[in-house]
Amino acid sequence: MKFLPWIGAMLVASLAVGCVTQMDHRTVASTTTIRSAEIAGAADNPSAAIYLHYARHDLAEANYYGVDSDRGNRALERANADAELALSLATASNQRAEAMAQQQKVDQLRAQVDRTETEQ
Amino acid sequence: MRPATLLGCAVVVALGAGCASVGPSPELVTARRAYAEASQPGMYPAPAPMLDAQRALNAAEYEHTYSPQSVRERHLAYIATRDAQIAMAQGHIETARLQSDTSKRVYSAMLETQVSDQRMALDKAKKERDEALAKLETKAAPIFKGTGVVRFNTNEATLLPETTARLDKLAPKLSKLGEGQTVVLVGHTDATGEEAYNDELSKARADAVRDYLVTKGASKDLIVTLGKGENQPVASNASENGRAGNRRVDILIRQEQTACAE
Repeated sequence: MKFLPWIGAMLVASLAVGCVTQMDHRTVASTTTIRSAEIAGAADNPSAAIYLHYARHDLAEANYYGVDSDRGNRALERANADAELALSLATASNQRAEAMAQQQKVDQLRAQVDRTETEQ
Repeated sequence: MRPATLLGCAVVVALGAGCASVGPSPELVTARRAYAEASQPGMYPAPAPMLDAQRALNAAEYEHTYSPQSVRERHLAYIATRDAQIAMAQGHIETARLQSDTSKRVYSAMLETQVSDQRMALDKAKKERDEALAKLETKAAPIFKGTGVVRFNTNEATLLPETTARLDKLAPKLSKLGEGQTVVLVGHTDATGEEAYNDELSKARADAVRDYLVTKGASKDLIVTLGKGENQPVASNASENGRAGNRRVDILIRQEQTACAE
């Protein structure tokens, strides 16, 4: 029985550590998404840049108020959503450019084949 | 009824009327519009974020019903808008990826067709060349045939000293050709190595002999070089001596037949 308070304290401490770790994970996830968006070229993409800016701002706000506060938590959720959108828009832009480049290759090859057939 | 009670009732009614008339927050209006746009026919939003958007929008609508214009309503609406936008953007990514993949497949198929066509053309040209060479060889019997005059080391197209000495003796004869005569140099290899490589090596050996003869006064225009690879051995490739005999260039002088003569 004399160990019961200790066990209780350890449980509370474990739960607290768990919560802190979870919060840290969310902040880390948000930071990672922002970084991914940057790598994908969101900063130079006209449609994505504004959301990257919002995400950075919201993350700073979340860190300022603390992610365990309501305000900080909301800011972190907004940061996540904005970062995700910035990343998606930048990736979409890159993918469209890739699709266009592939189509151009096809068109060039087709033109070359047509030219060869005409010459023959 | 006392005036104070009447006043209280009036205040309650006024508050109730006020609450009932509170409209959605601008964030909720935007979220509804974003979700509706993403749900339009012909749009292909990504399903997972679209589901998130629907949940967030429902939650925002719920908040609007019970605490309109609240911070939570606006926050949930904001998230719903972003989720709908993400769904659209990811739909665009998927569409572009599909287009890209289709283009890649078309490109590969076109390249494959082109390579196949070129291979067929090459095979046809090779066949025609072989037929032409066969005709050339059978058209007239050589008036001179020097087999075994020119030998080479394995995997080399460099003339050996004893070979150049022999060619020096032959050079005057090969430099003074008669009317309609042509020197045909036919390179050969032993059976060591790849067949395609041996074809090239045999041609290189014939070219080496031609180049040497040209330095000795023969006319380059009257010398034809051919590479037969390993296909015409004069000895067995099983022994070293046989292989040495096969690494050679045959020297032929041919007399072109005229149409009358044929």
